[in-house]
Amino acid sequence: MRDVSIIGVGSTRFGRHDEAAIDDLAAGAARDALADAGIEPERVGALYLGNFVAGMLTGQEVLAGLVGEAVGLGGVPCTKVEGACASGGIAFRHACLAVGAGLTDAAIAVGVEKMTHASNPRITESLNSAMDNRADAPSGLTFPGLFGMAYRLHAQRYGTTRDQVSSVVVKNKSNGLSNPLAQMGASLTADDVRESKPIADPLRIYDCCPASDGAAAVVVVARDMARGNDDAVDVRASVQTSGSARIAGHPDLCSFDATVNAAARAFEDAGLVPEDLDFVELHDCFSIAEIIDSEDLGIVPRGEGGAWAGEGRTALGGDMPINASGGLLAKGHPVGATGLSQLYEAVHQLRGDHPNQVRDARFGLTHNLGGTGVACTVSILGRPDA
Amino acid sequence: MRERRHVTVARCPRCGAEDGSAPGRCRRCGSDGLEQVDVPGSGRLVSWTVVRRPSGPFAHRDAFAVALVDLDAGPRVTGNLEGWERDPPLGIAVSVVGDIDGIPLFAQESS
Repeated sequence: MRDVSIIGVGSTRFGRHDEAAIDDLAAGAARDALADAGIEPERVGALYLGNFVAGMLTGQEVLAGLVGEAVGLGGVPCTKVEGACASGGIAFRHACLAVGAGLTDAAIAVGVEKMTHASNPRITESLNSAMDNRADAPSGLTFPGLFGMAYRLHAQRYGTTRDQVSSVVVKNKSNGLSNPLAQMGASLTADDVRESKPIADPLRIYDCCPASDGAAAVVVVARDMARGNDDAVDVRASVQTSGSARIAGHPDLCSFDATVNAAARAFEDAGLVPEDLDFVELHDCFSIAEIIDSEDLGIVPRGEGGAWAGEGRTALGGDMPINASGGLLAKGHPVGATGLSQLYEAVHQLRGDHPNQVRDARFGLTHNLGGTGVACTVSILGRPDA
Repeated sequence: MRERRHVTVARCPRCGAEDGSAPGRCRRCGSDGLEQVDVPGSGRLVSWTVVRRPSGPFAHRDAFAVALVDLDAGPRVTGNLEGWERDPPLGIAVSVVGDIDGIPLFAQESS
């Protein structure tokens, strides 16, 4: 496989986009990424589009072909991929594979979702399709419920406290305030989180990422094409794994084996260890998810995710900044776009022009997790001079 | 004390795997012809949550609890939980006391 680099990224603001059709959102992000890359669409040989529930919520399918046509790709293979909340990360990995395998010198990955026009019950129903419908959903379980159960077990097993979990929300919402793309930055206190509306015990509404509209895109090229480009970022690893779509299929409620396996392979591929990273953008669909993910990725010792968050060690300026962008909790979670939006944030960190810049960032990791851990991608990016 | 109930699980005639969900085929070896067997509804409470805002087919219900239970017979199953208002600790013994639309309803074992 050839080495690959990212030379362009684009993203819409996350939030409500009542005026734009879903394919227009995606095409907008794709055009921004192509412009950022400074390459003509004719040079892009493949498009991969990550989306989860466009069919259910908008009635529009064939998004890959629609977006390819809209941005002038002219008949190249345009492929939609789906892996629940990891759809965007999977699209990116496939773009890397296409270029790495030599099928084309340039590929684009686009992720998109449009949700806010739908009713809350309709959104919940669509998100629940990320579970094996025969296994857990018939009991009335939802994704907040799944993570509520994980929270309760994590609290009992490791002593994780309400205030520690709330500190994840306070941090990410605060980071979101200075990210112009974020839907819901806010200045909150731990009491605000504790007293917000209950959703699925012990989770409160501020523990849950908001549904959102948005799109993000990344242009990937062969490393040789990126030489001399000051804005290029090396892809040091791009790994995809799968896991069970049923809760009973996981040995431990407080860990996702798909994340553990993806991270281990990514560090091996990159020739790096967790301590080499300067920042992480991970899948904080819920506050407790950030704590579990940080342990699964190996960047925080098992059981200490709550303590690290509570002590500010994962804040900007801490030992390992997590979700300096605001994460899903503040940016919002337009499901299919999230994995690519994490890469957008990571590329800007490594270029040194992020609104919440991690000082001297050389290596960053992104983590995108789907459903009950049914799909996962982990990518490690690095500055070319790192 | 209420009568203890059973839980129906799928058992694979080829590899012996037991599954508390309702698979069409064995999730371990892919065999079909799964047998439905009743196992005792006693187990240990792994964790639980309260769905505060039921939606979809559950929209007509008040807040209700979902529990994850490791059955003494082996399989891990998802069901509903009675008595969550008393904040049951994790790890306690629970058993099936009924069902809601075919989903097992667990409650703390009375001593």
